[in-house]
Amino acid sequence: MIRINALTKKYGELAALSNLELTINAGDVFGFIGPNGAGKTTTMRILATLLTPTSGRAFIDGHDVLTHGRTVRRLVGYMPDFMGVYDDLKVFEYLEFFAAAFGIEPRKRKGIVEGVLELTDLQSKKAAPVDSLSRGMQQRLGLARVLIHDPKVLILDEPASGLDPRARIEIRGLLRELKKMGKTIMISSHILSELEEISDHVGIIEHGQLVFSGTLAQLRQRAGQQSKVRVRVVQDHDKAVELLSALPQIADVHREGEIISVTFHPGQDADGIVARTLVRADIDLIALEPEQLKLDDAFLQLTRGLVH
Amino acid sequence: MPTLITTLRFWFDPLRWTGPIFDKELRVSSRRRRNYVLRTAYVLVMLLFIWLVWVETVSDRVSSANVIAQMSRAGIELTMAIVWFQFVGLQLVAVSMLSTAIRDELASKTLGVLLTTPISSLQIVIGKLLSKLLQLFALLALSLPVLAIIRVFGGVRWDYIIAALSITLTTLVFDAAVCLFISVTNRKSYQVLAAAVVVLVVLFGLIPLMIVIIWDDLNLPWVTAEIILSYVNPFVVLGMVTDSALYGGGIGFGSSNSFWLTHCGIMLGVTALLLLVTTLRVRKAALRQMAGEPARSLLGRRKGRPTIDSEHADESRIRRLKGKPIVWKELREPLVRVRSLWQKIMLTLILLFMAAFYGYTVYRHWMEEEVFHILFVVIYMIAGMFATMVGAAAAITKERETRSWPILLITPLTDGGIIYGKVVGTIRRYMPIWLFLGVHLMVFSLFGYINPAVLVHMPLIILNGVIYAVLSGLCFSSLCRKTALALVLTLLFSLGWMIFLPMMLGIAGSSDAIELLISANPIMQSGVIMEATSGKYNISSGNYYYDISQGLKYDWFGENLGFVGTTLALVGFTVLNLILSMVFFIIARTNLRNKLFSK
Repeated sequence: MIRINALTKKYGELAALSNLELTINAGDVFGFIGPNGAGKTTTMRILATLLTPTSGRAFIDGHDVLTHGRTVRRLVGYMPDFMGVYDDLKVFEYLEFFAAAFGIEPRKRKGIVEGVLELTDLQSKKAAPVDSLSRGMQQRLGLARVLIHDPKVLILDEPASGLDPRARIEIRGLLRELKKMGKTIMISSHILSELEEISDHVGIIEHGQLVFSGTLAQLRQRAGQQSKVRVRVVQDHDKAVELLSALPQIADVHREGEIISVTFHPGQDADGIVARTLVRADIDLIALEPEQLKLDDAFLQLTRGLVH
Repeated sequence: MPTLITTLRFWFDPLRWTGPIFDKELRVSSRRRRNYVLRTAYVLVMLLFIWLVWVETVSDRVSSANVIAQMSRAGIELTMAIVWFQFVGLQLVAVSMLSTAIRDELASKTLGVLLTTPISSLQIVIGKLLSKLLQLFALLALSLPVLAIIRVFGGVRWDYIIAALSITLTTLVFDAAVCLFISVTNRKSYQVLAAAVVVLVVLFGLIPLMIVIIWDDLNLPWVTAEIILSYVNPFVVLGMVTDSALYGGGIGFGSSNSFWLTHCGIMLGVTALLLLVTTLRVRKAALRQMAGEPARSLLGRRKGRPTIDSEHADESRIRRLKGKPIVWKELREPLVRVRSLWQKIMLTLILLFMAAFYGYTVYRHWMEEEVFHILFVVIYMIAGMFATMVGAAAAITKERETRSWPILLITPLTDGGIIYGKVVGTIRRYMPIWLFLGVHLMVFSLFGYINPAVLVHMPLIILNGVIYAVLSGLCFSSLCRKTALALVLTLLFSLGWMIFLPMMLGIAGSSDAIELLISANPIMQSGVIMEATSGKYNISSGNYYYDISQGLKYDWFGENLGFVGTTLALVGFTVLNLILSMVFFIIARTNLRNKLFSK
């Protein structure tokens, strides 16, 4: 659904994007991750036809964003990382305005606006002035706006930024609904745990280049080469540390109170050896928990100065 | 004694009054490229102006004695040219600079933050004022070396220069105070700028004009009106000082004509009062901003502003979209916001005043003279074109400022379609002002005060004025990021070709070019048409029931083009205007998608 080939965007000498290559399949929820200034927003703006790339091409549903801007705009719902509001419009009027701007027939507009208001749970606010809404409500309204023309692709630039936990949960629920509706969603966020819950695929970008693109499992496999386990024993903690440190598969062992953290060498993921070693030494094992690699950790590992 | 010194130091320490705001403003302004561009442009225009005056004055070099005699005359004329250039030019710069002073803090939501620090409201106001005034004074000081050189030619009196500079300074401070006062109550810089221009034009132009008209009608002693106006109107006082300098008579301290001193005192007193009120309002504005409330409008609270809770059930207030979306959205912003009781009272008073003035002019048979029709029509034309320019100059930049522009540009609306919508929306929003003009022309044509021939020409002129105003405004709006800058450029462009360029060409002696430029100006065109068609004399000069154009004299620089010739000339100007407007349209469309994200 989205294809980016050798996309480059330069602002003077500064390259915001450098030969970016990316593919997002139809129906996928693609989490776009990267540090500040990595090029996420620039990529999204180019896909939304708001920026012209210096070189390279980008396609949405087979249409070049550069040469078929109007067609692409009908296919895409773009929610920027800020909410531009019109002072003098009410929520319903705001949505109806965009329905008209997207060329929806007058007789269908009311029904469609009511529909998106219901989907985004904004029914009760439809007569409220847009600029009087809270940040969370404005984000919902932004989502309602991008849905008004029923686009195939949603490009959401940090839709949950600045929201309180309840609003974030609600937005997440809404995105799940959209995923069920078969939309292709490209979403960026700094709150990585959120992307983890809703994304099928993730892409990590740093310094304008894609460091990783794939499923979450692939990400863990790549970033989580150094698996960890947490071990709890009844007694003989020092002896356990000594035994485990001697194992050639293990890179590091350290103790924090009753918990012993064991880090394997890259490519070694044999937590069975830990249990066997401790049992053979008659050390009573209470718990052995593999430490699940979080998206946050993967992000930190993959973006730690890998690309300059 | 030390206590007294400490107390005096405390009270007269400049930092006590300006605080860190002054320092911050100077730092920020030194980093803004536009300030350097402004200074350079100002100096270049002033030098060009001086050069043209010089060329005009010292043109006849027949003999060395003649040249020496001309030098002395050139000295006086150059000094007066510089004095008037600075007086008018710096007021324009002051309004454009000061209109954003406090509004910037409101827009960036830093005013509330400032007031959480020990900085006082007074320090904010004085800091803002002095930092901008310092830049204005720097511009004013640029002319001092030139004035010193001109003194060598002889004939220029120091007391005139001192009086003129004092009047200019006090006027600038007053203008600055008016801008700050309006700036505190309004979030939108272009509204501040437009309101400041309107207030100053009314104070220094319309009110004196009406005083003069009524004074003349009541046969009151003219000298009394002159004295009153000299105290409160800087244009009048500068004119009187210039007259005194030209035709003799002392204007210095202690002389009989030192009325400018009283004028400066009065202006400073009013300025102090305005600054005091502004200071009192700053804290309230900051508190409202911190509380997340919209800024109050100029005259009172926004009582009609509904809260979110009260909005739930009130769906009847939703207005359904009809027609083109951009036009509909443009029309959702009202021409005049009338929410509070005070605003309603003010609007009613203005309308009553207009009705009374109309009634009085008819009662006194003034409408039988063309000069009053010219006056009304020219005022309507200026008001209509100014308002349309303000609306058009804000049309794109206000969306850039509120960051709603990108989300409009990701809709399938074409760039041309968006501009078309903005053009139509802006024209329709400001239609009521043009309707006043239309009603004036039709009613007075119907009752025999204006020849109906006016209804052939004036629609063409109005069309020209509207199209020019809206497309020039949109063109500069597409080129700028900030509305205030777009508005300033739009107004400067128009003032440039309508007033300054003809003036300079006049000085350079190019009469054909001047006549063409002045004839192309819709305001001047309306003056020519009204002079030819209005008043009892023009009505009775021909039997217009059979031939409306019979006997009408259209005076285009001494040449009577007649009805047909004038019609053809206006059609020609309309074609030229349409070509120019097409250029504006293309520039606007080309730049529509620029400056989307950068601050």
